[in-house]
Amino acid sequence: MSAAATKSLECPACGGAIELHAAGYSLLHVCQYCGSEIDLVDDTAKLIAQHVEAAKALVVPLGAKGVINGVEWVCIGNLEKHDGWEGWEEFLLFNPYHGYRWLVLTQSGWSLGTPILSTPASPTQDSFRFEGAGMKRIYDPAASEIRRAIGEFYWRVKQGDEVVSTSYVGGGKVLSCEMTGDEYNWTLEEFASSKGIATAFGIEDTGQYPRIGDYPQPHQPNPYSDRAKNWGLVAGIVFLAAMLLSIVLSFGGERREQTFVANPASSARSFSLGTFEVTGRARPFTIKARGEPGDNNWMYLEYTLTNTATDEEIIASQPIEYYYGRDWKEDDRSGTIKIASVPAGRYELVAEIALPEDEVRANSSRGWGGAGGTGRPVTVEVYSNGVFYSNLFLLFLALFAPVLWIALRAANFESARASNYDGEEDDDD
Amino acid sequence: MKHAFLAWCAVCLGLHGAASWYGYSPFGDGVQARNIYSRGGGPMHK
Repeated sequence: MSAAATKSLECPACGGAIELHAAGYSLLHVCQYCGSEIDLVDDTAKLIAQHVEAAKALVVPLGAKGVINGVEWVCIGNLEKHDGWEGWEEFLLFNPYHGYRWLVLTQSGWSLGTPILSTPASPTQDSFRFEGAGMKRIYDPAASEIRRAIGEFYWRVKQGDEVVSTSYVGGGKVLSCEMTGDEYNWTLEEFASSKGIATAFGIEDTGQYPRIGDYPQPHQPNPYSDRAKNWGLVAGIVFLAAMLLSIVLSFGGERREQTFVANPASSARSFSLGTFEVTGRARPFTIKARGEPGDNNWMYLEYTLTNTATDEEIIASQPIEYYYGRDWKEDDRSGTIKIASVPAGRYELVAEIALPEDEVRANSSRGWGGAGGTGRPVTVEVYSNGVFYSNLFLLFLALFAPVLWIALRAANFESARASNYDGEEDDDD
Repeated sequence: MKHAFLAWCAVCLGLHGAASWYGYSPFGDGVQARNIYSRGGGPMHK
């Protein structure tokens, strides 16, 4: 294809100045001022049909030049089509070394279409493979009408012409086929961002879904799906880092363990778990207890953590219970409590055990009052540090709530996209 | 939006780190009064 010459002429109908950008390639020019059709086959411009239409400002003006993917294109023609449901515009781009491209402007944004000479499939097929991607039909064959044609074209097009078209999507691209009689014209469409088109041609940014339109284009990348993955990855890394931090900070405490047998007959049921040194910063205390209160019975541990320097006391308590019936069981014979933010200092921890017999001996005749006179063992394990899993749970919620939100937006994007496909449910129907 | 999310992650990590450093829990400090246990206990099962 040799370089095309730019040629100027006057519209034979209205006298408007016309500039041909693909002179030698175009067969037809439709005057942008009056809509008259001018034959360009010969050197002289012959009037085919005269119209009187007001000139319409085009989103991409005829003659506008823009660089897309490193190739400079000039806009030479514009078609306005309508399929009875919605309309769209197609701008014919030309480059003497690369041929023709279609810039398609739908209600949701732009596509760049490359005519392909091969026949990927029969347009009667619902699916097929093309360049390694599975293509699935999204729009059933439907007639569309050319409602306006302006500029230069490589075929004789006129207002009112009808074509039947169908579309497939796959691999992030759309393959559309226009059928006129026995002639099939396939075009491979790639999504083009409105900002990119605006920058390329120096026009106003017309926007794209979700700024305009009710649904995204079939090949429009979902802007939320990658973000959801990336955010999820970041949230996961931060969560793991926080877990690691919690574990590291939980090191360095003192550990004590003691087993005590509580005798119902004796009131001496207090025992010391030793002293603990909290240095530098406040730390939590983790106290695990497991005991044998007896069947359908309880025991109650009350801890007193006393600062040996100030005599300030911190009180915490823990029930140890075991109840069961014919088909139920409540087994709380072991449990863990945590005391938060114990300030730096030296502490002694004392545990005191209470039994039912201490207070309700009179009720023992009702079969509730205890496990008899046997000693009831309890083992208490204390660690002067620990991890609050509730903090990690809160952190998980805080980190992954935005991820969930963006993932829902990604899902809504796909849902809106699919709602426009033929054969898919559409809430608007 | 990306920067806002990263800032949010940093704030969350910072708060969690501070809570871990001081052994803090927003769900309570575990401290109680003496003898708060409902004497006699009993199963919750009905």
